[in-house]
Amino acid sequence: MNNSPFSLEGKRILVTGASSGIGAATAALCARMGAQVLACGRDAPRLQAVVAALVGDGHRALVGDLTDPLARQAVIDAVPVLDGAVFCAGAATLVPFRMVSQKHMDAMFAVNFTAPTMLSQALLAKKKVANGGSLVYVTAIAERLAPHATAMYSAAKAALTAVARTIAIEHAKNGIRANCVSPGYVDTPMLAALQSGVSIENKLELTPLGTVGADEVAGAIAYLLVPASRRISRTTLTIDGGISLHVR
Amino acid sequence: MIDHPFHLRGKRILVTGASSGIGRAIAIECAHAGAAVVATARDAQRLADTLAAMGEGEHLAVRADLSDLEQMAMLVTQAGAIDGVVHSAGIQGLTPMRMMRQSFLDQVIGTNFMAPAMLTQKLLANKSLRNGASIVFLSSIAAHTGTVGVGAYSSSKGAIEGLMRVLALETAPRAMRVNALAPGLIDTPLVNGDRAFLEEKGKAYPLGLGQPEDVAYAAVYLLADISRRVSGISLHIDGGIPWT
Repeated sequence: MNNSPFSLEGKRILVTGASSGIGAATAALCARMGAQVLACGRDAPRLQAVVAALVGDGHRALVGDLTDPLARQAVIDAVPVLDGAVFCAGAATLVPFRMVSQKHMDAMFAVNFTAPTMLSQALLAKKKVANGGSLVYVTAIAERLAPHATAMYSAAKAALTAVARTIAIEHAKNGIRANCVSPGYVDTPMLAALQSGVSIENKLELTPLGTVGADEVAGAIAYLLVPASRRISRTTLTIDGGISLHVR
Repeated sequence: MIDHPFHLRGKRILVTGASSGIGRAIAIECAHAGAAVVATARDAQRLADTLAAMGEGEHLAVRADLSDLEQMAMLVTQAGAIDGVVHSAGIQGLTPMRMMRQSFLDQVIGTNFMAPAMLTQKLLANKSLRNGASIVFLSSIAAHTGTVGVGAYSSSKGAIEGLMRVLALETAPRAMRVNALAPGLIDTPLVNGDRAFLEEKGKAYPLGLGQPEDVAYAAVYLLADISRRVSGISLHIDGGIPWT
């Protein structure tokens, strides 16, 4: 066994949204660090390609849309007791508030809030999180910055943060930790899709240290998974290249 | 072979307050992570113990009292070009406000705020910090919470967090980042004189009383290249305490 406090050797880690972007980078890094990765995603070919490329053995692809309760149940049934779970699956659509529909609100909350929240609830209820396990939620600096046209996305991420903080309090007695990683603009397919609708290049230029890479967000997530962070819980690690410094 | 990005190979890191507690643990863990460490503190004997505990490597111990500007300048000269600095030198500041003396406030602010602020100024003016360097301040959850009797200490830590955000913007053009660690109660000589009191206070922490290594590992993360886009944050290491 590897005694390094920065190793994930022998750990079982669930990663949602693993077929692209931050989730794919997280799955790759966890595998490199010795973990067995249980990777969830909607797009079967892309997810299987990600899992096939992972270093090491024993990784699994779990195809499903986690906004569907049946898909969540299938994940609960399929996974072993986990040492960590990373909730990367998310989506953003820009809609000015006066144009917000119930449908848009439901869509933003379904993927960004209800899916990670109810998957966490089921994992904890079914004792699928080992004592000392670490839960990591990918939120977004939008939860505090709440820029134009992100009302429902920002609201869902803020709500998810509140859930994570309550989980941290309730499950600390089992040594289970819950934290958020809050990225700014990250170079991912989700950002590319946003830019096809509205130009946010001026925003990207504002980032003092430049656009954040998905591998760097994966690094922050991995730090919150390893034993080195055993006393960090109920907090948010912001990784935004300093873009929110003016408004902290 | 397991590899991970939380290493400091090829980096030279300056650690203040390295003779004891959190500072010593940071010096040792930076050395374990592959850095060449420049360890500084006032107490020569305990500093030598830290140097010995760091083991093999191009490490250096520099005895200096950072309340003395000449000694600070000497430290900057001896440290040479560095990739990071961790300002862990600090003192407690326990006294109710109604009994506060200006001399006491000066001492706490001097050690916990003025010294790290002016050392950073000298490192920047001297171009000691390489492009991409990481500056780490030691704050405390006391900068964010209300606790009876820690007025001087909380003020010094609040000041350091304010400075941290400004420095983050001012140094970003050189790809530097500036962050703070905000520990809760940590089992160090600063606070563990009264064991029973410490254990009682520790019960407030859902994941238990913190150890110096917990803070040191967080410092390693903030010094490593993998955190190159993390700047201006205050990372809480407080065992999930409900107050923050």
